[in-house]
Amino acid sequence: MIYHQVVVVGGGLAGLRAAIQAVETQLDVAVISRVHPVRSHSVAAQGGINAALGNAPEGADDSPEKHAFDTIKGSDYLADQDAVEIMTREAPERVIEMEHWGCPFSRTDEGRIAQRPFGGAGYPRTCYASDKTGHALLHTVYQQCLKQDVKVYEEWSVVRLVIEDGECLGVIALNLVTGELEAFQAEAVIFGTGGAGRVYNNSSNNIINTGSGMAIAYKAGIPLKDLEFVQFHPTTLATNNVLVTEGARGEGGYLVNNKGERFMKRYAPNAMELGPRDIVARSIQTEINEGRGFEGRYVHLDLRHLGRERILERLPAIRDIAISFAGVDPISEPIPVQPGQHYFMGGIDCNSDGETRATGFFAAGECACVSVHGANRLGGNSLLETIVFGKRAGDKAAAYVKGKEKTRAGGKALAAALRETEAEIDQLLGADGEENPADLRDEMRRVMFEKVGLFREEKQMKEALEKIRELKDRAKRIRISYKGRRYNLDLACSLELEGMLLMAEVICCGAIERKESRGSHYRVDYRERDDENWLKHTLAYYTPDGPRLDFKEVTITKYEPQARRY
Amino acid sequence: MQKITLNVYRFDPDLDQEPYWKSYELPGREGVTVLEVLFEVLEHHDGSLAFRYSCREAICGACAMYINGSHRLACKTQVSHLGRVLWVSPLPHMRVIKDLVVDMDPFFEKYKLIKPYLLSNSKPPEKERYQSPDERRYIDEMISCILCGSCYSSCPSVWTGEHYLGPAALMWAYRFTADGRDEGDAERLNLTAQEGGLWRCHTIFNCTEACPKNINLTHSIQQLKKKAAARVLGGK
Amino acid sequence: MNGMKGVWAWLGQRVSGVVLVFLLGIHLWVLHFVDPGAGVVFQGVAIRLRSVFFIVVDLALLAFSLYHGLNGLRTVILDYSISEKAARKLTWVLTAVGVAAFVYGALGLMAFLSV
Ligand SMILES: Cc1cc2nc3c(=O)[nH]c(=O)nc-3n(C[C@H](O)[C@H](O)[C@H](O)COP(=O)(O)OP(=O)(O)OC[C@H]3O[C@@H](n4cnc5c(N)ncnc54)[C@H](O)[C@@H]3O)c2cc1C
Repeated sequence: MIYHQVVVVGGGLAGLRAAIQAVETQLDVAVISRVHPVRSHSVAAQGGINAALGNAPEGADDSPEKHAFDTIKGSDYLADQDAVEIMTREAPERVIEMEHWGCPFSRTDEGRIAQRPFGGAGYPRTCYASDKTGHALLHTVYQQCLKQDVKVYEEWSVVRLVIEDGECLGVIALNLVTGELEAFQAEAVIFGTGGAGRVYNNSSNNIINTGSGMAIAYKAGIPLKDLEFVQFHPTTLATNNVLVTEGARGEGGYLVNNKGERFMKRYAPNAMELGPRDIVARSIQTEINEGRGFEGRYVHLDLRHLGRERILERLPAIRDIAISFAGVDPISEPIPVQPGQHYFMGGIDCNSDGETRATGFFAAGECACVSVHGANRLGGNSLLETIVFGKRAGDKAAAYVKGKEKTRAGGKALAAALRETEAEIDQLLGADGEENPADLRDEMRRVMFEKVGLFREEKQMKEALEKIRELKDRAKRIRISYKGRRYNLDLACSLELEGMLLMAEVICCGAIERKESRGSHYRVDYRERDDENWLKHTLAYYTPDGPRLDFKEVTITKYEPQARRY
Repeated sequence: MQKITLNVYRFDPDLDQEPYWKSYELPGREGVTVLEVLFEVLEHHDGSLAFRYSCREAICGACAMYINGSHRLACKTQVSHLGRVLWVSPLPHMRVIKDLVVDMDPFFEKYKLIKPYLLSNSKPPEKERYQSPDERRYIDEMISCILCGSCYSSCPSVWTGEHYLGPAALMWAYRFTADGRDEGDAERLNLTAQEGGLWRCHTIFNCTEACPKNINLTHSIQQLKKKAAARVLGGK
Repeated sequence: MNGMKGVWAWLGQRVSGVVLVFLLGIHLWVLHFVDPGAGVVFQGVAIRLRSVFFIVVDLALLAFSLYHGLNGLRTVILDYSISEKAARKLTWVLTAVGVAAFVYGALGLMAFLSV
């Protein structure tokens, strides 16, 4: 058994930021990550991170209050307003801290952090490092971890969270290299395990974003909140769904249909291409569905009028991506784009200090639901969320560990959990089923995208739920072809499959239950937002027969819900 | 589309005495990448295959491999650019953990050695430190490094000298030295201007050629040497 | 003063390289165009080696090429990651070889001066 006072699961921005915070209080902290930290999904974020710095001339009178308002309006009023206020208030400090740590932000002519406009925001508020902001931020926090000598267990996959009598005792993790299981005992565990994008087809996410952290917490009895709110990004590459940042539209890119028309004028006449993501994504899908797309699959994102220089300076990675993955040079041709799954607004239910139902268990980042994004996240707010709430979770966990009277004797429960998990894995490896896990996963993805995607409808969603349950059943009979333990990807992916199906099931149930349209959750059978009945969070509790749903009030401070127009 | 033949270097130190090549015949598909082909094998032909992956968009650095005679990122490499026959092996000159997975620890340890973070003794201002767009542009190429290890694996000085810091670590040392906000020149030069450091670079340019992000590492290393020389000559 | 190592050796290699280009140029030029000794016969060499200018040039040539060659050899050996102790020994041995070779060569160059 390995012991650390604080165990952080996840080497992305949220996890590492939490680890730095805890290490600074002199605690013994370790990070466990499925991949080397810089391979985490955060590295792929492109566009930027929001903070009301007021550096752009047009944004000089920007403020955290305005940032909060935009965020809340963008969330379709489902965000908890106190949490949003915390996030937008602490944003400038966190972003400037990153700069002090050496993060190479792009600069204004005066040498200040450059900011660009992003969808759904009233001001140019999104700080960026060309179109590699996530890369710049993640490398910066990773470097700080090296500076602080944070211990990292790389290529270890956590498979189980151990909670006894409402208190978190530690985790069980699989060493991918050796294939051995190990119990990690800890006074506090922080999850920063990222999103579950790969539950869907056409996802912009890293391949490793399977939502295993959410699923593990859910199975351990922690409720998931608002999981039916899944963001679809308007512009992913039509070939393989690599993201084409909103920054491309922020810089002035046009969306054009096969009639050569900038169709956003019909959907968001004021904001045009810079409307919030849910609206732009549905607009594009409508164009495609109504026959105004290309090859029935995509529309064009046209950057040509920006000119060669601006594209090379501000969007070099987008150009690379378009050339590498679509064979198109945006300087001379429009980019083929289609909506793709992008982000999970929902996640592990926690408060603005990352605290969950179980003492000693914290969550931050995309796997958590504080909730600051409500029904729809604004671009640039999730990188912000990772560092604001990563820090706060680290702080709170450290304070919790320091204030703890005595260490709970958790060894026994952990050892038992370890034995059980060992037995499960042995059984999985030993079983000679007939189902191929990858096929089940692919089927799940297809169904989720088609039936619980951009446009939702009761009958379809019920079919999806039925399918997911069938897949859950079939997943009991999977076959793992390789029985060895060393770097067994087949085993690692199969272990994640169960969790992904659980996530899919929760999404379906929540989406069927919520009989209204709000933010990303758009129902063709209930097209209006219904504040009277549905201004509340969905909570899903694990039971062996599927999720038990419950609801929770939304915190409203001073922004009364109004109709959302752009 | 035509069928493709994938030859993969296989080695499991627990089972195999020696590495060997294994061939798979697979259906081709337009726009398919080497990484997708590897997944096709893993998921439908041979679950024992091991390789690293994450972002599939050439930004995380996990899938650097040696493909048809060059260092490449599997996710970014179109099969159609290589012809019908693929030869895929792990990063050369690195210890193989299994199949295409190599031990990256020495690479990251050396990266850590050069203190890859902003060094500054002065208290930062309340707001951001100022940096001109030109200064920022100067480091733009260097900061696009994804720590994939291609340069390290391609460098003859690394092959013969196990203590040599290697191209990436030296390039990162220069990246910080070249950043006006950093005050760690002396410290970092002391770390890198050592027999196992800078002076083992003989401007072979393999690193620059191997880099999938097109970074001219050799240039950065030369600049760092110049800084060291200027320092002993009394410049700054 | 500073903890950097190997800077002088590296700098020396560049500088000696550049200097060698010039010295070799002079050496070859003298041999081919203004050779006071006229021809590759003992007498000719003896005459040439009485020119102080030529001796100074060749002494410098000897010194710089020894440095450049031996330092180059040292670099090649250091590429094999030998221990610091061994490297120090190597430096001493090569320095000794260099000094000995220089003395031996210098004696040869100055053999005709006293005649
Ligand atoms: C293509 C793309 C572009 C984006 N661009 C932007 C943008 O411009 N602005 C913005 O604000 N947001 C953006 N986002 C969203 C944002 O990048 C993510 O929400 C954010 O990076 C999530 O960070 P995280 O730290 O929560 O998780 P991640 O960065 O996903 O990290 C998760 C970590 O957890 C580890 N992990 C997961 N499960 C386990 C397990 N079971 N055991 C051990 N370790 C585990 C992983 O190894 C990884 O290290 C973008 C998202 C995408 C898909």
